[in-house]
Amino acid sequence: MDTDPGRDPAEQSPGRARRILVVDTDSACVALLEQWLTDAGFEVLHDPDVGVSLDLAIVDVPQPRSGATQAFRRIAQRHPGTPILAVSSAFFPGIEHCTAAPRILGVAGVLAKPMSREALLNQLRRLLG
Amino acid sequence: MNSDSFSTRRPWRWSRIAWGGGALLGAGSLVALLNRHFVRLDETRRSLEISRERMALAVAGSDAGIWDWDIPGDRIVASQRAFEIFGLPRGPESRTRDEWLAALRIHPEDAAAHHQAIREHLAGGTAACFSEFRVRHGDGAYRWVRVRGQCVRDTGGRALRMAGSVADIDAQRRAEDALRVSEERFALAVAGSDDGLWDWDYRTGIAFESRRARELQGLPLQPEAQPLDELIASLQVHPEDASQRAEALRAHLAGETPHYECEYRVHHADGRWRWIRVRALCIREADGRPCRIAGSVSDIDERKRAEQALRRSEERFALAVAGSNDGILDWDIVADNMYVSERALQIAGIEAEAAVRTRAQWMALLMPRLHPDDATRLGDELRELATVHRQVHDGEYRVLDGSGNCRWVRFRGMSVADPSGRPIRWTGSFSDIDAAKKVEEALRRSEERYQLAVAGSNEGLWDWDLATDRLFLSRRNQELLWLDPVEPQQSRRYWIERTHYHPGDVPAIRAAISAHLRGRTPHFEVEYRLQHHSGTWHWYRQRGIAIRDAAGRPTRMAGSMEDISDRKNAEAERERLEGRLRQAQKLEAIGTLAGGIAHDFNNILAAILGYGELAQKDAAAGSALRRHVDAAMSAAMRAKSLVERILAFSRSGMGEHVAVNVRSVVGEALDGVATTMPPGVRLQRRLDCGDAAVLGDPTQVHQVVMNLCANALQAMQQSTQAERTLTVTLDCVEEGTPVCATCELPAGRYVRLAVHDTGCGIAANVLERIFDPFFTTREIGVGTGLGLSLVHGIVTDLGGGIDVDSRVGEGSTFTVYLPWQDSVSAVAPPAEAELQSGQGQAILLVDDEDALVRLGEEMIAELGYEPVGFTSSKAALQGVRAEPQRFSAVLSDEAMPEMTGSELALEIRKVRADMPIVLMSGYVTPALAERAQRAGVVEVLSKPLASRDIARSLANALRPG
Repeated sequence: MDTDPGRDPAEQSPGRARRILVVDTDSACVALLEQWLTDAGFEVLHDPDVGVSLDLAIVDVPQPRSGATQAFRRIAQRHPGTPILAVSSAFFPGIEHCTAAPRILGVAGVLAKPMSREALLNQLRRLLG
Repeated sequence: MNSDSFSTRRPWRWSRIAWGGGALLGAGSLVALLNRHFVRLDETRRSLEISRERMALAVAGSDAGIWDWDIPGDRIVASQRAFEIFGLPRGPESRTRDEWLAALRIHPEDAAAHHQAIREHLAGGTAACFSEFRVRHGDGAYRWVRVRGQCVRDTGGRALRMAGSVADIDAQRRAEDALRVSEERFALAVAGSDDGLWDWDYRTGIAFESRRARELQGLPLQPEAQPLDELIASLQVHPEDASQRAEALRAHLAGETPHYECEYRVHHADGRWRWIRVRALCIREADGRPCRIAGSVSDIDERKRAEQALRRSEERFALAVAGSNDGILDWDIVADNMYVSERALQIAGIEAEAAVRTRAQWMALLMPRLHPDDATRLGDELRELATVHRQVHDGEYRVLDGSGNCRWVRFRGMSVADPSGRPIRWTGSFSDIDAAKKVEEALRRSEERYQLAVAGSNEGLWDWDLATDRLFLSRRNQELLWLDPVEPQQSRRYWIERTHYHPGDVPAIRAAISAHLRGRTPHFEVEYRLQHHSGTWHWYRQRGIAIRDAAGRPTRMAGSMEDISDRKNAEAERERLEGRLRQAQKLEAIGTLAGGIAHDFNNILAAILGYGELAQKDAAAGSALRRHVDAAMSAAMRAKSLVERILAFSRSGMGEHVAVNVRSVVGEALDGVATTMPPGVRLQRRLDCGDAAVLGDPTQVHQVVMNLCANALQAMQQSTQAERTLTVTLDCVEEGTPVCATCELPAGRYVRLAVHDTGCGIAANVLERIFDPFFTTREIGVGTGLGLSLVHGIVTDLGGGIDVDSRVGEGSTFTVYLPWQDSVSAVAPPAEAELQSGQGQAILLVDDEDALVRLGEEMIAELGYEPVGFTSSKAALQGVRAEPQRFSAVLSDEAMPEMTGSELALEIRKVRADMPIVLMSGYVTPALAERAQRAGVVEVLSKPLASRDIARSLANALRPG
């Protein structure tokens, strides 16, 4: 499964490693994500204003119920068409199965923190095709 | 008549002279004259015997007539004078007796006596014949005559001749008659007179006092005549009057006063002093010395006493008038004589020197003093009084003083009318009633105010007399007690019997009354409930105070009563709202705090779990390091679960937001509950809400049911009730305003979930805190204390509310209202996607329920797959192990007795790592999702399964890459 490189989403494209932007204020979480994503073969970026094209953005939303879309809009403006995976410690676990939440937030996917590495990679697999 | 008796008569004569006047003096002289004449007549008669011739001569010169009757010869010869006296016409001197008698006209009353006298004499019965009678004269008048005669008899005694005289005694007789009448009259007058008579003769020293005089002077009634000295000595004159009397007598005797007149008191045998009045005149000798004094004595005792009484009365009246606070008015209407006492003037504010003699004067003085409004009225009334008799007139008027202030005065009086009814006098008083009037006015105002207050007040009044147990209830008070307005005075017992007190309040009422009656409280004040016959309870507030006697014992208690139901209800409502607000604010605050904590903790846990997972991977299986990391991970997972609950409570979390079929979720949750029911507890469910949906996260709705049921089961576990039933009902409230414990919901449509238990119930003090997070009644370590706060958080987050009804020892009901958002089928149909059918791939289906396996096989077969069903997870695993490549995918139930779906998944992945596995569960918890993910499960489906879900899920799972 996760050790199976054939199923690693980062390696789907043989040309280059896929670029994932990670936006989170919690440094421990950022470090963890970077570890997981790098391990999975992704290139991890941290600057939302980076000029290169992105394959996905993982954005932490501290309070998804209020004023969450502002952070997404900035990403969307800078990197139009880039799917966003919203993560939040205020999401209930299992929210990734939910269809309404991404629509409400205007993102491609949602994932509750804390999350397992497997769950994250599942989501990436789904979102990156 | 002897000389003594004569002398006693003399004062009479004196008296008569003194009092009767001179008319009787002539009569007295005539009597003396006649007496002398009779003596002379007798002498003449005797000389007749001696010489006829001398007789005849005497006859010629006499005033009397002579007659001679020759009895045998029947001839009567009479002198000329006799004819005159008898009133016979002149005729022959000699006549027969018959002729004589025929001519003589004797008064019919006297004839019989005259003839009788003659017969008796002729018969020898009398020495001489004497007769007086009246004869009628030619002028028709009768005149008195006296006839005297004597008969001459022969030797044989036979009467031969009878001769005599006749005298005219008419004048004498009439004088005698008059005298007799006068004397009789006098005697009668003396006897009948109220006055006594007295006559003192200083010359003889004899005092005569009439019987009446003696009676009046308190002397013995007899004798009427006694020595003067003796009489004077026996007189008992009042010491205070003695000198005055002596002086009056002396002055008169000395000639200083025309008569003696004195009023004084004498002592009577009965011990009383009686007033008498003595009046007398003294008769003097030629030299002026008094020789006699005679007069009368009158009884003036009554008059004197009346006078005294009158004087005293007048004095009293004068003193009363002078000292009275009232002015006195007396108006003689006829004479227009007005008397106004000084005090009356003073009251009217008129100077005391003012002269008032007529009504006009009085009115002239009074009118300017009167208040203009009253002046006209009083004027009219007084005018009316002068013409119309009224028993009592009473009026109140205002008098102005110099500075323009009013003073109230009162006229009160009555008129006296003559027989025709015309008023002739009006007497009355004039009083200053200003102070009284002001007090009266103040009292009236006060009473008016009181009456108004009572009438306008919502309070009833009561007054209880302890001695008689009489209880007066005002009309309002009776209304308050819903009593028919009967006699407001009844016994307290009567009222109490008609009043239904709340049993819980009776001790407090008794204690309050008792405490106040014993003087322990300054007021009696109590609030209690009474039941109307309709069954409703009303709150009353009763206040009162006891009135005590000198010894401090309560004799009476009075106060007010008020229906304070509205206030009480409002208070309760306010308290409830305040409590709710407090609760809501508290939960809000805690929620905010908890939300922040959950957020931070989740971030921390993310790192712990994430790095833990990496460490787990690096640690060799079976090593101590791996065990330690596993334990740390396990603890972190528990922390994650707790934070998840805190997040749910905090309402800051975000979850699913879809139309949730409530009945489906609740039913599924109850299925789960049913599997964990403790023995002896029955589960009753009535889910009548159709396909009503609420907008939210089904997982959260599920959690609400699970938590409420867990709570209910817990309550019943603590209860000793024999009957233990968990009742869960679900229905729709089409239109309503639900009552909630912590919030207010708008009117609208709601889905109502009620969880009722027959447990121990919740005490009121606990009830206030049940939604507080970490508040628990369970032992430490049992449960998290987050259950109800989680429920509250979720329900609130769903836009609903929750209410609690609990009775200690009976059980509790938690009612959840969730906003009803249209209907939704148990599982929402995907709007766009068509059913993706399979191409005969073999699908392993596992469910411990045979029926569900058969149902699932049908659905899978319909979708174009080839179902292979197992009712045992172990058997299914055997099947995979036997032919790992036979199956394209696995569809398994999670909850199974031998091995759970996720465990099965792990085992299958060991046999064939790429096998797509889909789990199904009645309750997809985050933990399950987590577990499933770790087991490499593609998707967890919610039961009950719809063919659409299976189609989509299988297509997804079988999708390559």
